[in-house]
Amino acid sequence: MRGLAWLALLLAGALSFAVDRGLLGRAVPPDLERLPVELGPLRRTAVIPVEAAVLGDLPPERFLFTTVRDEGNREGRLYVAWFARGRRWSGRPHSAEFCFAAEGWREVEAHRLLGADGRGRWSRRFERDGSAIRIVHWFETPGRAVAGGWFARLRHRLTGGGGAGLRQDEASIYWEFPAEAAPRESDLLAASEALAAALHRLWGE
Amino acid sequence: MGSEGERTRNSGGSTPPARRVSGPLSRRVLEGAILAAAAGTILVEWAGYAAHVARLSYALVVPLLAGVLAILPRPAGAPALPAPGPRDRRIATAGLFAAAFLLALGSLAAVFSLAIAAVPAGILALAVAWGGTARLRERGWAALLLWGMVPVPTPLLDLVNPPLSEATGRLAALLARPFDPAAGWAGAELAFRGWTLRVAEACSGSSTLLVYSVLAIFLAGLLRPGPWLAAGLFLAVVPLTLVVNGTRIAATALLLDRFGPAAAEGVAHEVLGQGLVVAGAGILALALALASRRGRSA
Repeated sequence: MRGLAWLALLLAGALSFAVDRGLLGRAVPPDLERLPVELGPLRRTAVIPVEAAVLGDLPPERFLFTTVRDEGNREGRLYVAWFARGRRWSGRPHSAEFCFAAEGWREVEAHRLLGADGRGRWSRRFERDGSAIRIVHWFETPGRAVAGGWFARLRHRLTGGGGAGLRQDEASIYWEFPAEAAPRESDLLAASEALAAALHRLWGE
Repeated sequence: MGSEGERTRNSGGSTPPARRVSGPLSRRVLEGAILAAAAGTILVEWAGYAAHVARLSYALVVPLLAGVLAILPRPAGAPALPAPGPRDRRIATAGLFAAAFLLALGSLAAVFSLAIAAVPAGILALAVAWGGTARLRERGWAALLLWGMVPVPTPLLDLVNPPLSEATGRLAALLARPFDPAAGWAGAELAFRGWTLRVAEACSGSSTLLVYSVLAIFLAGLLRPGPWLAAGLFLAVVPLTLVVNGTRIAATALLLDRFGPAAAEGVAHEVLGQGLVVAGAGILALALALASRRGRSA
């Protein structure tokens, strides 16, 4: 039995090596500038310049920060950050709500949105110094555009996505709008699904 | 395998001396090498990641501190420990399976904390195989400390950080009030004499808490206080973190007001912050040493 345990450990080590080296699925850096201008009911408008220092000590390898508008000309912002190697539970990437909390925003309400694709995304309202914002955020991972919980995603990671499931890259995405001038949540969901589909195309899926 | 070494040693004069040493030793070297090879990838990643991320850099010294505790001499008059038996071997085997499971699952699911947890799990399995559970229990603080090399999962830290930051900020405002009665804290900002000091999470969050927690485990292993004193030591970590971080923020605000924005960032800010953290560590160590001495003399 002890020999079997050593064998299992060696196999796990080999798996760790293969995953680390991308032998089971290499990360594909997406050219985020090629994301479509029209994202469902929202439209990308102007790129927002970002200083490197603002991105902290765990910056994404690629990112896009841009203003967006809906059909009612309400303006918000879109942030897409791509990480070549996600290390979940270790802060890279971390959930967008903590970026806002670290900036002094106080969360006053949160609920989960369920899209037509069956996937959940978070919608949160933050307040600070008399202003309020609404953000909708989620993580996007290659080969994991599936509904369900953690186990379903792990299963899909192992068996689905045409080999993309074992890739280690990951994107963190959020929309941000003034709370009182935010598009309807159905519009934000539709835009999120359009963006996710476009990102998966950039990933070659 | 270690138990086989013990059996050989206990078997008396029929075994040649050279074999008594080289057999178990070579097997232990082989077992250590297999564990190192299996965990090599995740260890390299861990070292690079911890070195790069300021809030995790403490983790790099954790295995060394655990090693120090593991090789401390046994207390005088401590009873002899039994050689590892079949139960120890079963536990060691289970530990190796657990290490393999953590490494595989963490790698597949891209959950770094799970994957790196395979390292302490594997090391402790080897410790049980070589020395038995009795020896591991005796070195309990070292075993506990070894888990400190695993970054605390951010879902847990994210629960701790907001209240910790809020309490730190309020304390900083309180400390600043003798110099500005209107000093106040809102969100992540300290208002002080017309300045607004936006405080990074590194200065108000869980980083210092983790450093002091690791230090507390190390001190407990080193000075071996009684259970009540050890409990007091761990309870003291939270208020100490608040005081150190609150003082750090208030002092930064004073420097900002006296010398301008350059004093609140860069090297000067780092020196102030690290100096206060080290001073807090010194206070913790001194308090425990004094309390331990008083406890022994009483």
